[in-house]
Amino acid sequence: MNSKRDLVIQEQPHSAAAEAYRMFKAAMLFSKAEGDLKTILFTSSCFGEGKSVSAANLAIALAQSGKKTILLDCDLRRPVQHLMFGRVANGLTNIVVDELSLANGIQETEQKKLFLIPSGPIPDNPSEILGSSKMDSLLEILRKKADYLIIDSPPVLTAPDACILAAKMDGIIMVVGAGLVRPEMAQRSKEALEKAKGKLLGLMVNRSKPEGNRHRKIIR
Amino acid sequence: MKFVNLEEIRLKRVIAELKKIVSIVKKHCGLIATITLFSVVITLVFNFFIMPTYGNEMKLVVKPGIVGSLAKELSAGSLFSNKTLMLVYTEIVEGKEQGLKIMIGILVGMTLGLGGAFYQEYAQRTINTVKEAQQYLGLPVLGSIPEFGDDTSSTVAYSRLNRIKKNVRDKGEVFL
Repeated sequence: MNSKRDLVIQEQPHSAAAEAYRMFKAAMLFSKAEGDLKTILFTSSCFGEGKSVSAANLAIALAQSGKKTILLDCDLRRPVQHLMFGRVANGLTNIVVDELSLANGIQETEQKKLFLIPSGPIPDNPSEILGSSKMDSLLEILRKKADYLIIDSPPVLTAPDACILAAKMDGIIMVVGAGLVRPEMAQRSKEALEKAKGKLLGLMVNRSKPEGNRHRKIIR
Repeated sequence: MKFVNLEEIRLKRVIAELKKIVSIVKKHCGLIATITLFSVVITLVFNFFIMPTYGNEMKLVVKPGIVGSLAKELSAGSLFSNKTLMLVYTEIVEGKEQGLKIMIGILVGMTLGLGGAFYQEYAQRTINTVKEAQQYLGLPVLGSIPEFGDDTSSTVAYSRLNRIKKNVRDKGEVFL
């Protein structure tokens, strides 16, 4: 179950995991020229690989560096961002169906300069909502409002949602959960994102296992 | 817009998981059947060719009709002088113990087979390291969060960080 504890960069800022997320942020920003990378999509091959946690921690890291960041939960299958940040679930789907204004849908977080738009109630047609023209215009507005727009999406192999969003993004980070995904599954996900004309920036390997004891020996 | 009931979604997920388990069993049914058969064969081999001895007791499986003469001969021999002989009719063994042993053999075999199937499905062929991820997908690895486990102090990254902290505190310098 995702909780506030997963936001290591905020809860344990001096931990090794927080440092790893900061390094990830730096590597990601270096991968493209500044200004070319505003909307970043986080996805994976299957559930439980850690994309929501990675997206949340990266959003905090960006906000900590003084950039206005909006974290948009587009995972309309298993949304967890509101649980991690301890906020109400109302958000994206309410905004798309005009039940909620954008100003009321954007929620402040404990982190300065970081704003969250949770998924809202789970609809029965997530793909249609994400592919709607209303969604396109919402993304355009959010792009103008923030320095960075981080988007959490469902896994590629379980729903077409990530592929629908892929073409609209400046960059895609594919999260790979070590020990959870088989090579052919990850390859299929990569191919699907490429077919959808998504710009893959690179990989984020979660819970990676050490290559050997070489590093340990050097330290000792 | 119509919203979905959360309970309904949870139930759908449970059904999906069960379907996944069934599909894994179907996919690896050959392996499960082979291991089960192997286990049953081993059970039968032990049952027929290896006579179990329990302390001073010896269990012999003999055919009816030769019990009396066999008992006499065995009792007279020195080999069994300090043992209590227990003669068991084959019919009794076949009826009660043998069936039970075969059942245990099938159960053990199926458990091992299922374990093997799930191991093959999940543990054996997954991406585990940064190098593997890079190799299989041909994309740059921008970041990696190591597995910290429950005891974070035992990880490489954590020990490095502690070493830096200690050096800063003791010597006022940042080095590993």
